[in-house]
Amino acid sequence: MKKITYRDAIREAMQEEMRADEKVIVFGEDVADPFGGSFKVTKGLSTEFGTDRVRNTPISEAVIAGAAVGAAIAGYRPVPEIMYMDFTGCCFDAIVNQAAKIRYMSGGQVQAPITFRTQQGAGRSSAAQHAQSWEAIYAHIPGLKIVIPSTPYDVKGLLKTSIRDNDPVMFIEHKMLYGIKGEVPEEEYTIPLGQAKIVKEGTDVTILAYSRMVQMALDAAKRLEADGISAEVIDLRTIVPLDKETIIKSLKKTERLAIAQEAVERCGFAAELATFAMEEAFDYLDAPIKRIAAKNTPVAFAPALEDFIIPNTDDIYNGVKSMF
Amino acid sequence: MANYINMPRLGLTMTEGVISKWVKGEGEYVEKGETLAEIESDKSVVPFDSPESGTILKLLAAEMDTRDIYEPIAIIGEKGENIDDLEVGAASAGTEPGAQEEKESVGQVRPGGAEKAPATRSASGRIFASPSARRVAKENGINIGDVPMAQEKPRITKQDVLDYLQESRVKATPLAKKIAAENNIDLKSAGKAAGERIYSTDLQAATQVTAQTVDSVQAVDDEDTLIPVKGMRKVIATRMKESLDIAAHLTTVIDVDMTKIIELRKSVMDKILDRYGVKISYNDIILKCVAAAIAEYPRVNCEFTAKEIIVKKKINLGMAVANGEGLVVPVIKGADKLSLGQLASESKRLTNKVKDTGLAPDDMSGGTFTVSNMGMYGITSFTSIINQPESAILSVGGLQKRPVVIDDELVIRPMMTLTVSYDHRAMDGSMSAIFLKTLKEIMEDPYRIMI
Repeated sequence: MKKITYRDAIREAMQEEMRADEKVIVFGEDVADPFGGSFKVTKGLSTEFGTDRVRNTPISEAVIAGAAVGAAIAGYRPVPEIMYMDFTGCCFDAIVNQAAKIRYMSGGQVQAPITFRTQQGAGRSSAAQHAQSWEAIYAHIPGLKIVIPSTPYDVKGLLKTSIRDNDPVMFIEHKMLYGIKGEVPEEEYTIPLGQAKIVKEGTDVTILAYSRMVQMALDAAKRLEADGISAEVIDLRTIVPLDKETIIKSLKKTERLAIAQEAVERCGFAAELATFAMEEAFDYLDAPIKRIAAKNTPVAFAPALEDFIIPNTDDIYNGVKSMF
Repeated sequence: MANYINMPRLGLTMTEGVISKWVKGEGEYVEKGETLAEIESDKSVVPFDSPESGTILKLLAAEMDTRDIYEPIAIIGEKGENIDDLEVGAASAGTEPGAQEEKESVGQVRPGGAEKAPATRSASGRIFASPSARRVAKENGINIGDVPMAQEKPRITKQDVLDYLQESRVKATPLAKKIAAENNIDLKSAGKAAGERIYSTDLQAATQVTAQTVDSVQAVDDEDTLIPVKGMRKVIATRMKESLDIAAHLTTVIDVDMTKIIELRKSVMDKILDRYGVKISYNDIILKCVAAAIAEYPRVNCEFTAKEIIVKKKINLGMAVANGEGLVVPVIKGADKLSLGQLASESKRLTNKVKDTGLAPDDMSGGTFTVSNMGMYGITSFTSIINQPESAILSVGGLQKRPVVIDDELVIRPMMTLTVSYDHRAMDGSMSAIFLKTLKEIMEDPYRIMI
């Protein structure tokens, strides 16, 4: 085992896949060396694989996503980088109407094995247009898989699987997670999509979380233990396809459900989780389902306001406490 | 419309009552508010007034019968009404353990828990219960509407159903449940027939306390007097034994020079008589000193639980009062906050109440420390059994002129012996000693209580 950062884990995954399959290509804004990407994730890749396989693009998400679709149809396995999830508004059509539907609309004759790498989230005053969380918007589109890992171990294993997947994947990283360190095996490994992970076992309440909320949920769970509340924390890791079995099994054990999402509360993915849980395990709900989410407002620039708007450990702790 | 009259709950900790006496009989008319019967609870005999007007169509219990609170004891209605189905309901409630348990569990006081009432219903009769709760109720064949729930909660939850299930399956007194919990005894193994209430005395075998069998059958002579072990007598017997079983009883003794108190009493006696209309007794002054001693050293004013020792802030002094064939302990609440005259007045009021109407259950609850005085019988000293759930009790002996040594000289002083019985689980000997030392200092310099 070795300890590496989340960003290094992503790079390693790409390196390994690019070494294994020459059809894997990477492009985006400023991804090539010497800059190596806004978050330094792709540093070293163009040096190793050349600027044919690792390209800088114009500042145009429409170009990035459109080229990815084209390259995919032509037989490549593109891993385009959209610098900020907030920018996908400029390439929404390419992702949603082209990449997501090509297999379906071509009757299976054409496929789009694209892994759209992007990052989202708040935490360092990136302000309204650079701090949003949009996983729910893409989860709503049939044909897209949504992967949203929280640790170096998960991000590496899941990126490799996503790249190997023959259908488009929205691979959503988090700007505040790039620097976190975690243990990763020396040898090669992958993690299947659609598999959640119980990161803490408990008996009194199930807390579902993903991305940056996972560590906060774990911190809140520690405080709850001191109050005599044993929380089970589940890192969803993939939200489409969803690991329904793990969720329901946990809910039947604890009979209380709380969901922590960094995205805006209204129409967030927690709403889908809550409804699905109610449908599948109605008789196992001992309390109303609790959502801990961002306020229905753009993300503020001022740190104090951002802190107020975006959920944190205290919010999760208080939210779960109120269920008892 | 005929109705049941149920055994009333006359106090916060009452779980069952004995019909000491029927004041009205079958066929008699009773007005709402008129006394219908005298009910003996574990603490006293109290008149029970009829909740409605009507004719007593049937008595469902005889005198000296025990019934749980809320169990039907009579049927009231219009003269000549047909009460067949009510009688059937009452009979099945009396014989079928299932139905009986259901009725009795509703309203059973949970040890140390929040007060519960039968599930609150809105005007439309809706019961608010979580899906989980309903599922568990259904799985166990119970009606969700019978599950009691704490008043401040918005709905019945699974735990409420589980608690109700547990309570309804095994009937045990709150004390028996406590002992069972503390000693990891499964109440079901207490060897009682299904539906019979388990008392703490039934758990003696399991707690490995050697029990002296009470039921040795001996020949009874004609000349012997038989005092039934019922009502208060029975309760005293049970409670005293229980207290000895629970607490680690030890005693500490001290002698007190009463010279200053005699002086104090003489100087305030008339003023107190004028102002409060009561004659202040030595016991009143002792009570006041005890309250002051506890205020200075509250450690002895506590309650022992498995998890923690709760040192009480309130000083509610129990005052043991003999009452014919029984003993009651009215409580003087906030004794530290009362002036000498007020305390004397309150103790007189309670003592009178014991004799006249009898104490209400709330007069006897909430005590944190008890004082028992047998001085009037010329007793030198004695020990008392701790009044649960308190942790100490003071036994006050009589005022006696004794030879004592002061400054190496033999003198005669009015002395009194105080004995504190304390629970060694809740406090150490040194603590009882500090308390007595503090009390002695106060009693030998009683003007301190004015500060």
